[in-house]
Amino acid sequence: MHGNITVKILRSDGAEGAPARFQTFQVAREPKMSVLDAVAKIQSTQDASLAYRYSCRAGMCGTCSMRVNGKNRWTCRTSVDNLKSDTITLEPLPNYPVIRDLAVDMKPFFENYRKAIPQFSPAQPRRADFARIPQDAPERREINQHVECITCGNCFGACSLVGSSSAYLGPAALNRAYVLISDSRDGAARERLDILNAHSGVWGCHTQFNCSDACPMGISPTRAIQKLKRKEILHAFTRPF
Amino acid sequence: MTNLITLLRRNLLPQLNVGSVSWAMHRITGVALAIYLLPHFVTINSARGGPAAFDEALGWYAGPLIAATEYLLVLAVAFHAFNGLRVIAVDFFDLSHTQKALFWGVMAACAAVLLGASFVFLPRMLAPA
Repeated sequence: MHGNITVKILRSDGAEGAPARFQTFQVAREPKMSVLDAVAKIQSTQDASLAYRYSCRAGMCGTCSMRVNGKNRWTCRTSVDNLKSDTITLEPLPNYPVIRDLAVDMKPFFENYRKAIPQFSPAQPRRADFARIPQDAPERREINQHVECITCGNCFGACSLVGSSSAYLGPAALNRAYVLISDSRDGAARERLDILNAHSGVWGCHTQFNCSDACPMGISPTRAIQKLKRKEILHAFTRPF
Repeated sequence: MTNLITLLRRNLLPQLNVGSVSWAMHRITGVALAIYLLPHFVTINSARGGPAAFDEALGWYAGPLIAATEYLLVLAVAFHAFNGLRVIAVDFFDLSHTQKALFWGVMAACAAVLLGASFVFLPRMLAPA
């Protein structure tokens, strides 16, 4: 495909209540062009004041995530050709405060992420021998389905429940908690289950799968949350009163 | 309520994903069925007054408009029941990766009910009052 693509970008100065408006740019289509390439081109050749964010450009960090034609995507790995449209509409990720234009403040995402105790808490003392868990152990296979999260925040921006409640921890935090709770080397499972046994935790999920649809890594946080709900019920029955 | 409106306006309407649509339809049919139960109980309760009273109470539900409402009721029951099975499949049988296919299965089952029920309800809806 040749010619120009029209890129409509939602621009705002980020101030609360300030009006956001679409500005339209024309960019020459290039072979294997990513959406991030198009944005970079606009910023470097047409409007230096355009704010956006990226880091790795290789699908490892998720920093460049935006809403592309109504879907949350990592823009460095989103090919312009694959969008099958000559018009690309770019908006900042929903559910985040906008800093400016396409750059959002990830603070609510990471604040909620921390609440789920996302760090590994060893059950054994440091001097203990290595835990030997075979690659094909059921535990490992379960974890493999959820461990590749790059904390890009696309799921948080797609979740209806995050959008309607600022207390809800969101898909990525719960997915991370599930990974660690499933890990037999981790010792903070009960603590996490206590924190997540709340409407702001697993019970806040309404199983809409928006997070699973948005995840560029193909993870289904919904699945993790459903599994956590079952663990919560067992936990409630087995913990001492 | 404001929460629900915010949720619909900001999130559900701009991104009509299969999961969101099925959640919304499940909620709407659920509330509708809960409301339906009230007149249902009142009507059934009238049987305590004897056969004549029960016949009189059933007489309230004549006419094409009621038939159309009952038609919708059957569809609401069908969707809520079939989608309830889908939710159980996702929650208890680890089938979340098939949720979209399951949704279309639910819709196919509803279409079958729609077709079957139309033989019962369409003549009543079109009958001269």
